[in-house]
Amino acid sequence: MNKLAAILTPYSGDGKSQSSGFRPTLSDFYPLHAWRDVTAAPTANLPPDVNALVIEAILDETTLAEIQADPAFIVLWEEDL
Amino acid sequence: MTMTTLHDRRRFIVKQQTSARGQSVIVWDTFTDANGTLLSAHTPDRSPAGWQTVSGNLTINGNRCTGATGLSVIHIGRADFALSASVRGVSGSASLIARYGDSLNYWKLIAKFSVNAIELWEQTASIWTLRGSASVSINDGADHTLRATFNGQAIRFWVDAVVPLAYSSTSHQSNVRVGVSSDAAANAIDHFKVSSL
Repeated sequence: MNKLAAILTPYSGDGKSQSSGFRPTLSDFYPLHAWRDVTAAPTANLPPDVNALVIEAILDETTLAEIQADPAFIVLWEEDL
Repeated sequence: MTMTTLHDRRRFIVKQQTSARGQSVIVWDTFTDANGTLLSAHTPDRSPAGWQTVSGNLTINGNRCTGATGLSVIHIGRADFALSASVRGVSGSASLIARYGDSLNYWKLIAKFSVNAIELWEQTASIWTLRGSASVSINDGADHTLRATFNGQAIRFWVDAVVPLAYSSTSHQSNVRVGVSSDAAANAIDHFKVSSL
């Protein structure tokens, strides 16, 4: 079953190129079917001390369980799709 | 949970927008021209302006935009629009460009054949930020329709019949150029269309 979840994640990247662009660290480590940035911090505010963002993600429940057990990320809420 | 909260969550999944009454085509390009024609020397089927080369040398071959890499844009004189193109490839990526201001400020909706995903990138003052992504099976060499709508702060993007992703941003809201790009010569772009909303 797929889940919709809001998850707090640090940023990865330095924004200096597309290949090293700012992105949620979560997406580097877990397979997400789809996600969007809901914090939507203005790009100008990100460097040099980029912090964290909340994404809404569609993912399978096995992946969600792994993320919930990973102290690097915080699942704020979840619901069935 | 309040109804507002629930509503906000449900906004993540939005119904695919069909053509609305009163929608008019601003740009339509089937890339029909002699093989080897540079996009900058090609006249679209319908457009208020010609293609401007930003980088590379996008070229027409087999009545498609293929055979070279680069980024080209068209001035459409409006910042709200629906944008689509059919894209095909097996590696690298092909993209729609939206609200292009200059080479350091624009939106880029990428069909990333190399990883089977579409991605929405914002570049502002040369800083790149990934705003959303969806996994889709697109590296089969067949045509896939990449679509986006930009309406005020509301941005939606999707490919084929995949449920659109929604994002909200004020970035580049006054920029009035759109375009295409490709980073692999074997990728092909066709049926480029811009419509009013």
